[in-house]
Amino acid sequence: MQGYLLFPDGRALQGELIGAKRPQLGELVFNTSMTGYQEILTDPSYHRQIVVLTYPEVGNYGCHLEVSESTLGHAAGMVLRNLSPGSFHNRYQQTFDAFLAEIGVTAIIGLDTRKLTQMIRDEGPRNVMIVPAHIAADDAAKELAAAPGMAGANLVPEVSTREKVIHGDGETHIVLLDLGIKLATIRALVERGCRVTQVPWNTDFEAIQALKPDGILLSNGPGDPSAVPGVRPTVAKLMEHYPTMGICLGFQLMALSIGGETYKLPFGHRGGNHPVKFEGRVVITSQNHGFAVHEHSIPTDSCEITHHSLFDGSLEGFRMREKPVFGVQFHPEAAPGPNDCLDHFDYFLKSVNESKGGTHA
Amino acid sequence: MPRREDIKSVLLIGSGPIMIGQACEFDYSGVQAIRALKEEGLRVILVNSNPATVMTDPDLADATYIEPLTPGFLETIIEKEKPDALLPTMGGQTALNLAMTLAERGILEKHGVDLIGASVDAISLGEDRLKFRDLMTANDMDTCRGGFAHNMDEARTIQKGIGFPVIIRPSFTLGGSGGGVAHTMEEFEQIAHAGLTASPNSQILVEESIIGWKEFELEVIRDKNDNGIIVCSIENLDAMGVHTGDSITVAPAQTLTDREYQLLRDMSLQILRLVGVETGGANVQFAVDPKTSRVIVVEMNPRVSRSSALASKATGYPIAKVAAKLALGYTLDELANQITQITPASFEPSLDYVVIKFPRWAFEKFPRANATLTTQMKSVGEVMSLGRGFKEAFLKAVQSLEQGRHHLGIPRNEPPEDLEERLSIPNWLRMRSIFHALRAGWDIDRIYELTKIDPWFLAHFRDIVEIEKQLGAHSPESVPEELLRLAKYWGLSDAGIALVMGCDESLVHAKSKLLPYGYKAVDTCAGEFPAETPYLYGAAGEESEVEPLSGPKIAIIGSGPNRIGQGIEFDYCCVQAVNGFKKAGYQTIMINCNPETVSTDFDVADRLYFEPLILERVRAVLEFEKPDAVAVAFGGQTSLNLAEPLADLGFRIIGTSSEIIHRVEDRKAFAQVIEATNLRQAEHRTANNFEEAQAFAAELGFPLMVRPSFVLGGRAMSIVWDNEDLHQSLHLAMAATPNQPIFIDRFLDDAIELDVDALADGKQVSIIGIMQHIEEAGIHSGDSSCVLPPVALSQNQIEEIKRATRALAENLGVVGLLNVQYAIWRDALYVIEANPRCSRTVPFAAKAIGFPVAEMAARVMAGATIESLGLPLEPEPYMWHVKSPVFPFNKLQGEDPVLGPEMKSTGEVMGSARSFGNAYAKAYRATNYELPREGKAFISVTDSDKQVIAHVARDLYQLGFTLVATSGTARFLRERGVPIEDIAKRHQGSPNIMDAIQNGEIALIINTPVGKESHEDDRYIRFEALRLNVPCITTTSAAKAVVAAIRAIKSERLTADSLQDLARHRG
Repeated sequence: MQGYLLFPDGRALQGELIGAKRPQLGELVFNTSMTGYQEILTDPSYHRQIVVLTYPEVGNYGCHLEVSESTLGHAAGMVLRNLSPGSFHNRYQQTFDAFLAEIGVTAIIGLDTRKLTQMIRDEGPRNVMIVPAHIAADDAAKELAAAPGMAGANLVPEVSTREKVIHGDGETHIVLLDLGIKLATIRALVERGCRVTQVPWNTDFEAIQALKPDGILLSNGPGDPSAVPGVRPTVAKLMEHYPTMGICLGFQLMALSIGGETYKLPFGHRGGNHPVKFEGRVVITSQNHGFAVHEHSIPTDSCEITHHSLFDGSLEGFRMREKPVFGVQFHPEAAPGPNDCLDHFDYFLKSVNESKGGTHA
Repeated sequence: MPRREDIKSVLLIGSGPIMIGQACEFDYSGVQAIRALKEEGLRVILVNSNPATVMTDPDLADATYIEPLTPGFLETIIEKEKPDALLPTMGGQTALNLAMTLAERGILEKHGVDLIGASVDAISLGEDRLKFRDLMTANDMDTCRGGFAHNMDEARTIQKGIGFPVIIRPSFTLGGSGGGVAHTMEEFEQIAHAGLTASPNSQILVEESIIGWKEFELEVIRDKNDNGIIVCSIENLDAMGVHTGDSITVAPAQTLTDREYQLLRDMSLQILRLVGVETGGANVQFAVDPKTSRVIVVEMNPRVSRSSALASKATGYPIAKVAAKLALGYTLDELANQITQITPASFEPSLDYVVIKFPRWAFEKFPRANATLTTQMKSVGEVMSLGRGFKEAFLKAVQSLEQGRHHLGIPRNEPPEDLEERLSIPNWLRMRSIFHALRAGWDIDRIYELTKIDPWFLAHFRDIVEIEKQLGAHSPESVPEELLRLAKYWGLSDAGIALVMGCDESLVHAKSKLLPYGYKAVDTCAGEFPAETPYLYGAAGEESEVEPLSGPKIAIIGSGPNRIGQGIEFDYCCVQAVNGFKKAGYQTIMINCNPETVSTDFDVADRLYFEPLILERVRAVLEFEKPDAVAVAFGGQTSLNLAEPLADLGFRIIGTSSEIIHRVEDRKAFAQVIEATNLRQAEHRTANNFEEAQAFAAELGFPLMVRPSFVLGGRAMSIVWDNEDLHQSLHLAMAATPNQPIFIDRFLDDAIELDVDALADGKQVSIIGIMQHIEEAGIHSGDSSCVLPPVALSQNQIEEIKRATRALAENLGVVGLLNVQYAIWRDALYVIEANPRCSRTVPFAAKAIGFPVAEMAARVMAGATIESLGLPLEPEPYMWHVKSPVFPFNKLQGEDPVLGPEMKSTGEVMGSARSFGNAYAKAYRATNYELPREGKAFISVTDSDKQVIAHVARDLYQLGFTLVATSGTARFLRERGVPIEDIAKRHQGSPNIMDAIQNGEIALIINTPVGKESHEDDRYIRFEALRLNVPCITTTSAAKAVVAAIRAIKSERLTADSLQDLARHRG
């Protein structure tokens, strides 16, 4: 099916639609990973975003159920250069096209993805719409104009679990505040001997306390961190009482709850090749965030800055000086991307196990 | 942390002559390394025996030694230069091995030289397969399981440990004959038994078979702080079993899931840690079972490699440069990404395009060689292409190969009957066979079963065949725009589409030129950061992200893939041309498609277009950039062939005009020039068919030289002595270039041949060098050793040659370089051929006389005069300089190591000294053979050579050699007073000459097989000599030179002089 990618200024780029072949609206962003299209697509942090994949060949090895990062949320749409003329792999279950259709996502193919990437880089992200050819541009343009931007958007309720879910049966009990979690994070914890209780984003401190956690993980998630209502006090109390690790949006909420400030990056960090300086070494990280934390807003009396982006110097992580609490902006759980920082989970669980048997407050 | 302050000078070892498996990628790496070290203010000492390299240009390193790469010469240089450190990782296996020898012999320690870039331990772990395997096993990484067996019991025990299928390889059999893959116990018993019998030492390797698995390489860099990055992943399109150098490869990997890729990434980094690669680049190879995703570590190389050069070009990440800096003690985060400038070197490049490397083979030149592709590399060069999709990149690679048609096979031809075999046995034409099979409707599964090429690739090929079919139903007039648009989007060339439609390319072009074709940048970061990068490639259907360069500019057309007859020397000329035009005030635009080269380094020219060198792609660049002029004189025949079509399109050719080029290339026109210049040519005719050829042969008389027109490196050229020969040669020549005329020349047997290079500015002509061939007439000039200045010419002859060359240059109106080949036959001077361009000998001559000749040629073309450049009209070479070729016979089993009019050498070395003998000895040593000082010399020559060889034999005897010969030669020599023993021929019973060679009794072989008398016995002698590395001389003139060389090494001290020393001597 033919279709087009519609911009707020009326520009329309023609391409071919695959997947659900329905209109899709979202913020246009790009990801520079060269593998992992299924993980990217099913990452809830891409909720209400349309992702340009800069790598031009997509769908090569098809889709495998166990690779999906979530069933609760995913990107709104995708923009690709070329779709593989078939899917070939020993684990192959479904073509990318069929998978997109199944989860209700439309992708547009045959576009100059490099030019789009440079445009996002130079002009910043904005809402766009993937539109089937039979829908008139005027109608689509009205819908596009009416759509809210990402700043101020609280998207967490749309991708967080509705009820408590338990994973694994290990000795160490981690409560995971689900803001849009990727399964890789849960896997990383369960593989390391944890029982993980995944709770809805708006679970209050007392309810979490009642679960008797040994540690807390604040997950990644979509949208503007400053717009997630009511979570900050909970996060502040959790950090006060439990060993806590924050990832991406979870990290941003940690920063906000101790008085930090967040801001929208010019075009975000999305890819699997981001170098981060950490303890004198360089680690290559998987990243997916449009907002970031102002380094100067982190109180240095109580916190130590631990991670920096080597791409733009932005803040990538801090830990609290007196408490076993730390957070990172990037994704140590990888999926997709390098595993260089999986050891951050070991570090987290070490502090959890050291302070087991009581809160540190 | 800043770099080490204790290092002030670094010794760098190059990789020597171009050989199969070790080509100009190490010139590229070496040049980067030298520049990186110089940036740090270090004194750089370079040793490389190859004069055709850019790295040996005297203005790069501080001290440049063109000397044999042997421990002896290295120690002499170390003693003289006293470097603080040795960087051994830039010159391939040659440099690594040399460094290991120097370390093991205590030479480095004795002179206080620190080994940087790779430790002795890391190097030996990379080399020692067993140690490496143990290390992997100890760390839970799989390697290929198996071991050596000496009897059936041992073999069965090993097999039990690994199951089926197993591969059985007998040791020390030529080409691994006698081995095979066993799937059942019955097969195993049979093959193992046969293998034990076939192996001379009853030894077989029994290994788990991973043939057919997917093959991947990761290019890794690690620094001393344990920061590690993957620069690039490369997937081999050909499955395990074909050498990576012979595989079509793709970057990045296409068929791995993210989890699989990350596993390989983790393993690569861990392997570098385990092996102890601390400061530099390495590559790790993996095999992945397509059925189970099980991973096996194949090997690791702790140095820059062919793959790392490819990875650098594929990503824009300069691996060699970064590795050199890391060796000095920097860490990755302290170095900037050269392309973005704003981001550090410690990141992993992201590609938004697909890169293909396609090897280029030379089997057409080695008809006897076994053309099956195995684990022994056989290709002589490669091309790389970039496209915004696999199909586009793949087809552009095919177009870059310069092997006719710019497409894969002819769509209308019926597939050959033995197609299954052509698919299942890897060979250099297999890609064509795959297209045949798809066109015949074979499905992907069947082709996969035969080829084990991942179906993902095959599906793309199927798409291409599908669109071929659709196009085939149309003419250029009727083709729907959408169909043509898609065909171009997928990378089909106009020529390819024309082939499918059965029409002229220009008709397709008239339509396709209306479709967009833009240029995208290689920026290491997939567009994430703004980058001022000069490195561009074409993208069909998309718009350009750059504007044309502003100001005066000249485009230089490169030389394309390395092949026999056109290699690194032309890349050297192109790089010099860039420098020359820059000095003349122009911006430079390089167009080329060879990833191994210096010219395609992104900071050589002001702009680099990585595109196929076919008219369609070259003109597109020129139409976009609109340069003031195009230089075609530097990229060998590849660029020269474009002169006329580009001139016809209205582009200005700088220097010698396309009309002049045509006059030289057209036989008739050239004959008129020769006549007008009062020069002589051997009698010749141009035959348009078989009958004409026979008539001309009768008219001219034998011997004759027969050759096709428009070929490179003497392709299908032969000397014929009688009618029977003539028949065969005509068939060969006509097959090589169908429907083209055949040239028939009187063959000037026993002539002295000469190569002359000259530079003309329109007013004056400088004679750059007169090089006398050491091998006699009839041996291709590229395969003959040559000496500058000539050894055996009178002053009168030399003056005549100079006059003739000047007259030719002036009469033709050459502006730039001119190469003329002459023969002196019966005391008269004959012109064999002339080429108004940079020649193969220019880099050698430039280094001999100490002037950057090719750079000066560019400046002359841009308007400078020879006088203004300070180039003498007759520069003096100061010493004796010998250039010697290197041959691929040990890699191409089955080929007779005999020289003739068809060029077979892959590379060259240079030896310079104060006597001819010494210079020849050095050059000989540099080709990796050692001349004996004493021992037994075996002589077997044709009757016509016996007179000359008598002198040689007497000299050898006086030098202390004992002589043996087969009965005829022995009798002849004994009659002339040379003491000599008889030895039996092979068929005359034992002990015979073969036994003597095999027992190591023979130190030197002189065996001349010219003419028709070469027979099987002789051939076996040469094969054995080749196999056992015994010097084997096949011409009388080389035999004389060898005598001079042996005399020199017995009486003179071999010294080492840097080019810079020589320049000081010249004043």
